[in-house]
Amino acid sequence: MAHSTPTRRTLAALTATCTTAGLMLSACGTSSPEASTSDYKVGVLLQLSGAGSVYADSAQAGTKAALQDVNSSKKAGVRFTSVVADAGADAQSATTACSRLIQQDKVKALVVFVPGPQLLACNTLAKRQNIPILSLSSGAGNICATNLTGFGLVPNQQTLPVLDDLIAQGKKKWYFFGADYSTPKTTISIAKPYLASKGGTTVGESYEPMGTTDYSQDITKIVNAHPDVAFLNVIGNDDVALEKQWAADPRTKGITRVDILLGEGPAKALGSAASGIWSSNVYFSSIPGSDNDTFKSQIQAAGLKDSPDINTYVSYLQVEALASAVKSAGADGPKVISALGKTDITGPLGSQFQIRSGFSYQPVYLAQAQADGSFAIQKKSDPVDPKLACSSAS
Amino acid sequence: MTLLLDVLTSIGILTIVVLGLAIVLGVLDVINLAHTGFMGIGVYAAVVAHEHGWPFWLGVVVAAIAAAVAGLVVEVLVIRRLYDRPLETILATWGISLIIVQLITLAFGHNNRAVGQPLATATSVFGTPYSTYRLVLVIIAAVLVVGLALLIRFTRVGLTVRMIQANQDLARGLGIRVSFLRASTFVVGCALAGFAGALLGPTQAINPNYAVSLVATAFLAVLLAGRHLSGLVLGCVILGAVQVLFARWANPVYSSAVVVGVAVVLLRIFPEGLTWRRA
Amino acid sequence: MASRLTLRRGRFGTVGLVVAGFAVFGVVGTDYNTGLLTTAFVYAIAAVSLDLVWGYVGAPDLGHALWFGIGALSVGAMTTVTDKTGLVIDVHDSSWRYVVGIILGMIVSAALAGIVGRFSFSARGSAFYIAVVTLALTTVATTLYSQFPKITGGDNGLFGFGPANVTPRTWYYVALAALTLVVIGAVVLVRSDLGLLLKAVRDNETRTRYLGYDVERIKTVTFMGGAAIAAFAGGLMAVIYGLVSSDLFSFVFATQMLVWVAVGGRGTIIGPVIGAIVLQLVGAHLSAQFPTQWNLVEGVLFVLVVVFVPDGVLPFVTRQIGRLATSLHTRRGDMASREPQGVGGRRITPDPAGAPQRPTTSPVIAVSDLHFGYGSLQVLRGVDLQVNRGELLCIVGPNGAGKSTLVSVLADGNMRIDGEIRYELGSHTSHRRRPPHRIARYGVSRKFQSPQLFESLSAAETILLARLGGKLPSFWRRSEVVPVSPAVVDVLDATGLHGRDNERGTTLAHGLKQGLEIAAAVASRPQVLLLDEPTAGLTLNERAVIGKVLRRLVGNGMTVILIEHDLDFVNQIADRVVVLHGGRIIQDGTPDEVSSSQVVREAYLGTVS
Repeated sequence: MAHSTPTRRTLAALTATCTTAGLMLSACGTSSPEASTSDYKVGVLLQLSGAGSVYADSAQAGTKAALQDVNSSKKAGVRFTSVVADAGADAQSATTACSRLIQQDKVKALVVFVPGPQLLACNTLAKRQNIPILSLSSGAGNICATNLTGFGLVPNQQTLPVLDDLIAQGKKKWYFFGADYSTPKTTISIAKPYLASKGGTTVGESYEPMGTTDYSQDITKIVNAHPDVAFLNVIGNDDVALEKQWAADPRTKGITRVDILLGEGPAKALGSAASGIWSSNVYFSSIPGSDNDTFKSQIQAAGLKDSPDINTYVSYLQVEALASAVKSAGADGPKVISALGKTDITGPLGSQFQIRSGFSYQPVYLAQAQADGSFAIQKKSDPVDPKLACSSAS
Repeated sequence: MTLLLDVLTSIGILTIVVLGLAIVLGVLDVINLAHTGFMGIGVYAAVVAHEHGWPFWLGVVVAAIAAAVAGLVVEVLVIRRLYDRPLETILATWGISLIIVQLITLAFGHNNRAVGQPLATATSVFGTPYSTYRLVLVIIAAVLVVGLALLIRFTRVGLTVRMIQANQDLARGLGIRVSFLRASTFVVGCALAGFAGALLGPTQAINPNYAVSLVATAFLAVLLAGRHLSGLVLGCVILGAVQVLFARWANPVYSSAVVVGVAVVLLRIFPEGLTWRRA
Repeated sequence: MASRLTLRRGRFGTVGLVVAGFAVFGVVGTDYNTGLLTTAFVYAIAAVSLDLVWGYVGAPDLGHALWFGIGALSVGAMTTVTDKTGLVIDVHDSSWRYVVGIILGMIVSAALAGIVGRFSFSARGSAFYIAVVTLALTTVATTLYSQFPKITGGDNGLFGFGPANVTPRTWYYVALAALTLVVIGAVVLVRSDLGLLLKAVRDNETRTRYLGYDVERIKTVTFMGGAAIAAFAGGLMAVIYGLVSSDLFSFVFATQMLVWVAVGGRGTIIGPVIGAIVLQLVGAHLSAQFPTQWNLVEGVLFVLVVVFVPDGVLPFVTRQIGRLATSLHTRRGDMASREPQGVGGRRITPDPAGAPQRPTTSPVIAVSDLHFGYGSLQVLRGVDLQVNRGELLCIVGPNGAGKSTLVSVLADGNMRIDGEIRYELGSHTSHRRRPPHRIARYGVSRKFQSPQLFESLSAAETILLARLGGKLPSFWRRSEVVPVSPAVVDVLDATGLHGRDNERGTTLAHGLKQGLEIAAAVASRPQVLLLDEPTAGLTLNERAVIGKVLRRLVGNGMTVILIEHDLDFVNQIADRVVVLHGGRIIQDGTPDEVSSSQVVREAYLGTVS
């Protein structure tokens, strides 16, 4: 057991420790030297550790490829450099990582791939200094701030095209199942009235908390409701577990699965268990055409072993959009932010990519998973209006 | 009927997960927070086996062996020095779990992997079609529990283990190689973790943070179990049944909270569920 | 005394120096580093609060993040307006809401901790039950957080609040000041006499209970205090960053706190502060350099500390410096410094003003038809016994006769007995359902068969706690001297404890431990003294002196009940002897009557030889 009374020796130890800490602080206080001051430094914030790290590799490859493209084609007028930081698994780590990017590395813009609370943590720091944040998610579309631009789809943009298509196929009875989290709840709350307006019926709706490992009783519930379509809106690892258990359950045969949150990588890992799943997104690696082939080879050159996915695509778009904004507005934070709000560029697939009032407009692809877990493109639909207005205080 | 099968299979899966943890805790007084880490080692061993085209069940055996080897290393380097310091083992095994997760990440990357889908067929139970694989898991759980019970009850190994549980100084005095038996117990516990990890592979997402969400329920079940195998089965039955029934009939979001609440209250009423700790 | 004063001045000097150093750093440091330190200071406050709970009263709180989270949420909920989905749509700008938020969070945390403590701490339950409960609570809290979006902001949490126009540097100084105050308060507390009591609870709950202290209440109150301080830290965090999410409640964050305390050094206050600050800084800088490897390094580091420096880095470093200093001194031929260093620095002094009690012949304990058993094993089978004031009663009997059990039952009213035990100690008569500390406060002091001492307490400190006899010690004053009655001085002198005031009880030789146990029992100035084999392991000479001391106590009106094997010693000192055999009293009389009794010879002496 410890000596419980501080003695002279304790104090000596205390002083020694503080000196060490001080030395360490001063040693690490200096920033990385090689970047020149005229460069435009981009902070990349993503989850490199914890459960969210599944997306890290593909997102980083997109950023890297885009930086190469921007610099080699001189798309931004200045050289882009980047610093990567680990947002960890919680808001506190995100705060630390983000303040390092802003205060220590003095980045001029942030490209982030983190969930809602971590995005907010970072935005709290960034908005004080008018640093633009380019984010994949915007917390189910309801987090908005003047300096924040969402590059991914908001729930109605991603969901409505699938609903339209499957209803047109005559599948009218839907069961909505989601993780007990804001994005699925918002998605389902948009999907249900839309379904009703198109003549469909909701035969059931239920949620499970994040981190659920056994979905047997949920599958039973869904099967007993006899839907045509099971709309499964579960996130990350839980989603993979759910799809595996769904596929292994013989009672689910004949029910069409929709899972717009299933990534291409996890679907590949699922293999035959993913077969038949409908999904929708702005990018699939199987999108046909020479533009996508060029994009894929560009990503492979950046060092990604697997095929690019939605995260790769969006992170690529983010850097490209930032480059076009910097080209027109210079390096000044507020000017870049307002330029980003009027982004109009040609994406790597050759289609138009626009940002209006903080949200993206881009074509949505419908795809269905094949027996090997890859997605086959079924349809390309026009951009959907995000129909969102900023109401949050941030 | 389906509900009954859901309950039964959930209990079976929980038992498989918990068994290795319970052995380590019951015999050694070691709270192994790295249990899910060893499950991860197991499932990744099965992934490698699968990617070499080996059959799934061979992969399960490989998984148990891999986790056992890792367990031996951990026992010799760390756990051996911490017996009789139960609180320290919590902290140390938590550190070990960090290390395991990180090593898996470095070796295999962040992405999802697969172990294949064995027995993806349905079996009819009294007219109700049900996933064959889940039913097989229940049988495996039953075989493990019965086998372990017989081992403890009727063999020399069981006798010496019970002696160590009761009084290790006396056991040492009688010429029992306590340190060897402790190491073996820990290794067996880890092997069971690896085995469980591989078995759950077809139903879970496989990535470096494998099975971490299982840890809370598993611990409550083990604590409820006390030192007896019968307690373990009872603990798994109660928690598994509460989880499934509550999720079925009420809001599933609250079911995990209810499971925790039930376990905590049971432990208050029956503190002897905690008999693993010497007075 | 002089040297102690300089030491004290030195201590505050060093603390002042460190604080001044940090204050200067607030001016010269970069934004990033001062920002990191601001967070680290807040974390350090949480670490101190966990140390009080875990390091001092020994309650491993695996869910300490819960209290931190409640504090933060309280501030967030007080200052924001949300729509029905939990999205923050407006922020109150009156600054009193922040103050109220922090205070409310502390109250809610303390109240909840009080309920949890009452529920979890019990004499019978496992010491680890609290670990299970706190772990469970923090898990449940994270799940339930998203279920009340109106208050919590749901999955996105609450954001955008915080007092306007306060610069990060100001927050740096606010956090530094808060930490300094908390540390000073905590150090004063743990060095006070109450701090001794907390350590006693941690080291040996049972013994503390028999000294007359309500262990469960002490643990619960400390737990509440720890929760309130953690909530204060959480509230401060929320005010500074204007951000609350379920992450603040999580088990991961709770584990982080455990790491700070365990690595820094449990039960040292300063250690956890250093742990929190250094690990936060090292973590931030290293995870920036090696984002993927840092967790690996953290894990390895942590395992190394737990395995090789289990009491934490600060005590380890302190020991090394001490060893270095000693070896330097020795080289210089300074022999004095070789003496073992004591703990506590308290002195035992004689206090002649111990008022003698009036001897009477009235009974103090009446036992009738007492039955007691452990499960199916019946140990006491119908004991009838009356003990009078001012009597020295010896209980003899063969092994397994039930002697120790009888003493245990007398001192603990929670044991399930049949029959009746009554005390006649002033207004105190009841025995049934009275926990040991209540009976101890009646004036019944018990010495256990094998010495039960406190690992981190010196002889003087043990006696100090015994002397207070259940009265709550001062939470800020530190007694430098421990006044004791002449009887205690006699015991100390007789057993060779004189001058060993500052040696730890557990490092003493066996005979000295016995002596300290008797001294502690006598020091509590009891009316009834229950001694279970007090002279085992003592020499003939020491026994004779102890015998004399006991006779003198009896002469002053104390009642002594003694379990003893040595019949010669019994004959020398006892007024009365009862012989216990097979759970019944088979003989009751003067020493002469008993030693000449045929029944006793057969039953007892036969067994012994």
